[in-house]
Amino acid sequence: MHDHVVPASQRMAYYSSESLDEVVLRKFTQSDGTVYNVVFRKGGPVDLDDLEQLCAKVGWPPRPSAKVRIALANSFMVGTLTLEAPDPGSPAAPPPRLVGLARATSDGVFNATLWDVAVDPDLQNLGLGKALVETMVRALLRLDITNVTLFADAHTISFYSALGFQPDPQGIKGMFWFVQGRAVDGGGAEEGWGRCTPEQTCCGPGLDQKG
Amino acid sequence: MLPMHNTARDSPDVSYFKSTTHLQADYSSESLDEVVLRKFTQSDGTVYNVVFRKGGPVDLDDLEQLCAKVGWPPRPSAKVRIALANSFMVGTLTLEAPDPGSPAAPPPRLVGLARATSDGVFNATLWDVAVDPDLQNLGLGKALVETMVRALLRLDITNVTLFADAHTISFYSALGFQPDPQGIKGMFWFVQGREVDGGGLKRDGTRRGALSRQSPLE
Repeated sequence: MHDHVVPASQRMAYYSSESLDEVVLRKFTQSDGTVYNVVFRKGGPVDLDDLEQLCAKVGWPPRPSAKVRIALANSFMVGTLTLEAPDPGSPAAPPPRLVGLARATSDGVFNATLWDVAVDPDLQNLGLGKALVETMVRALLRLDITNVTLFADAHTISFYSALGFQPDPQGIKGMFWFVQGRAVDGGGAEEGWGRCTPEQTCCGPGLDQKG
Repeated sequence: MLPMHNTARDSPDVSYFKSTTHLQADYSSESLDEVVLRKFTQSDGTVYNVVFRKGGPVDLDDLEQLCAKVGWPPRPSAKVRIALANSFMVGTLTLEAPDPGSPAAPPPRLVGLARATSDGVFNATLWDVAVDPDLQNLGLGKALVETMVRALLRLDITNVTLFADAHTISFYSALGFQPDPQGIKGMFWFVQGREVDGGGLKRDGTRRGALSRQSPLE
């Protein structure tokens, strides 16, 4: 359905609701007049197959489904973007399509860190990533969690800067425990999944991997 | 500095430690729930252990005192309790008698803390790493962080991260942490007007002052 989406969308983000559990962020009109909404939801179910497809579309290495399920369950907040008919429950409506994801770990009161921020490449450059991250941040702030952090790949730093994130404030540096030979897929726009598992023999300096 | 007391029931006066034994920390156990990291000998011959524990209870009053000693702004106890409960892993260092259960033993003293948030499988972030200034420069911070990292690696959580204050970057580098690998930057949302106590050796205080009114999200 995306082939016919005309990106002349109206922004209709209503942030006045109490919970931010569900927010219609955009309306798109297809060339045949069909209307689609892009809806943000948090706390709802996530189809692991849909998520696997989305992660593949954005170019991330595949991850075991079992681990992804656990990661989502252990995340403090999981937000999705779905492209759907205005009345997704109607029998004539096409199935909703998962087009975005972001999740945050947190201690629930002080700090939060965003991971796995992804928007379907078919719908990038339409402001959806911005809306997704803004809504996540807004939701965290509403819970009085004021230290919202992330690890941004180099090419995404300007994206997050435009949303109000600052790199290295007061000289504070994000650091990663580094196992030699491990590919780091960090934080903000991707997530870290070391290829070097403890069972292998590579070790970081000063730490015996067998310990 | 506290004056030395001779009664066995008092907490050890660390200023009188005459010798330290750098115990080979025993990491062979399955769980790393409890590891004796160091032995200290007081001038009167009394021996104390520094013990790492994770998953155990943390006395909030002791923690508040420790946080004050390292110079952090105070935080509401209720929030600290929640933060600890919501942390994936909480590690403590206590200075204690070799047999802390014995009636003659002085009470254990909380001398270190570190906690990590995590999704349990991929990523973890260390917060609130603190060592009592009386016992700094003895390698305890190193042992604390190493043990936390080791414990996370054992759970196959390989992306261990933190936000290090500028003056602590070399400390964490020496432990195997790298800043900005592949140009990846740690970023904080909208710090204007907000005091940032980030990650590594400090912790984030409660909201201090108003967030910028020009914030795009307010």
